[in-house]
Amino acid sequence: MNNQCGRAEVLAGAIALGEADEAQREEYRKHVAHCGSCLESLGGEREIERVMAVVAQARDAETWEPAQRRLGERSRTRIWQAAAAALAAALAVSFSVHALLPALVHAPSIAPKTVALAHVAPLHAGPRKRVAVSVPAPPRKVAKAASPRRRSIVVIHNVITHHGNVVTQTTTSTTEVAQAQPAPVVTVPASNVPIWRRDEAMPPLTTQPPAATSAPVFAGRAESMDVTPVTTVRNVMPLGGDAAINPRPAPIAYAEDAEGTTAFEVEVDERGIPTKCTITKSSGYRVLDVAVCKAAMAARYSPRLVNGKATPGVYRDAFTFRATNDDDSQF
Amino acid sequence: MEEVCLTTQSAAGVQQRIEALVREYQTKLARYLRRMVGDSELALDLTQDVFLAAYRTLQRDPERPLTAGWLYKTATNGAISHLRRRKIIRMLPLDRDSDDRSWRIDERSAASVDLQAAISKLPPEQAAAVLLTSYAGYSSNEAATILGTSPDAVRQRVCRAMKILRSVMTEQS
Repeated sequence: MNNQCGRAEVLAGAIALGEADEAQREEYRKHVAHCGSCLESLGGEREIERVMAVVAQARDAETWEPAQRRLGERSRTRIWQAAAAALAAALAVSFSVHALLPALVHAPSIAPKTVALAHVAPLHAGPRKRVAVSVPAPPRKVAKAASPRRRSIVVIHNVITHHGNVVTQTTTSTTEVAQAQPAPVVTVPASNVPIWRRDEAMPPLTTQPPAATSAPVFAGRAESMDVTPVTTVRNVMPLGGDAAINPRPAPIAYAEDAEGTTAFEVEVDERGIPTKCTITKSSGYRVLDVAVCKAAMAARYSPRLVNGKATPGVYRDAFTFRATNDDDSQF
Repeated sequence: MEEVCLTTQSAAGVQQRIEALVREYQTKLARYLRRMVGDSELALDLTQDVFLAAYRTLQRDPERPLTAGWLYKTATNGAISHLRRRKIIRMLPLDRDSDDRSWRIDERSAASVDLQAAISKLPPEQAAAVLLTSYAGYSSNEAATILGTSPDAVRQRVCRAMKILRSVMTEQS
């Protein structure tokens, strides 16, 4: 590492803490533009801010409250640990006294000095032999600066459907490649689906119970004879199935290795035409959010049907983007 | 950062000053120390040590103003000393290394990043720098005063910590 890279670390730290002015940011940009190792290890400005945003989010989500103690009160666990440690130390001293003392007392009669030295000498004469233990390194992918990388983004589409009380979830993924080259199919496990998404899924076809059944029934009154008809609702669905919404992020997303989950909702009028797109959870990258909304507004939908009559409705969905390289996407 | 500076100009005495300090900073210090050492019980013990040190300092010199920076400095020194000592005695099974609970943005989601596991991989000085700034809210100048170093050194430590956090997050995801 040279002085310039050391300076780049200071600048990256200032960017991470939000203390860098525009001149410092420009200086950092110029450095990483021609220093591949710094760009690889530190990342661009957005990447630095993304990592630090995770710390800030975790800080804001902190809920732990310390238990109240009197001044000078110690934890019972640590008192027991200290007592156990003291007991262990006492046992060790006792063992050494009982086991080694007789040996020390009778040491001269057991072995003459010459024999003892002959046994001791080889231990210290040569280099110590060690058993080689090979630990398999974790499969981390380190990109070489010399070879150009082909970047791509995996788009995971989370589809959740309700059939009565049964909830089924399917996850499909497609790979968007920056260059026009065929990309391998990547399968991402369904466990990547964020939990908050599951609560917001709307059933495509539900039968609402009549509201009047919860009202008290009074025998002999005319009101108790009213029976509300069963309401059939079909929610908004994109025409052409799940693949109808196909976000294609701008090339800058590949360069920045943009990742994240974008949740959105689209307001659809009674003709099935989207009128407004709202990002309900941002991925942290504007370029990804814009791509999702653009794709959602370009699609056409079947309108919400209430008793067969088209009404305005809302379609909610989420996309997860994962940056990957070609050598990463083979598993 | 806003700091509460308590002096003995009020005729409350040392005891009341300590009580005021505990009320104001106990939760903040305990949370900060919990993230430093990764153990809630140990964090409470270290927090107690900080307030005991404050008590002894005020007993010696009742007129001395104690700031939040002084408390954080004492807490950081205690945590770093413990982390260095723990490195040596880690082979003892009696030493409980980490808290059972992880530190995730979304506690319900196992897919979210476990930040505590990432912070435990940092050297103590880097963990202190990143937690004092990003967690406790100090600027690099204030953190440099607490850590007894220069602002640029704090920024460099934050950067190196961020590098490790980034790699751990990539592994976890």
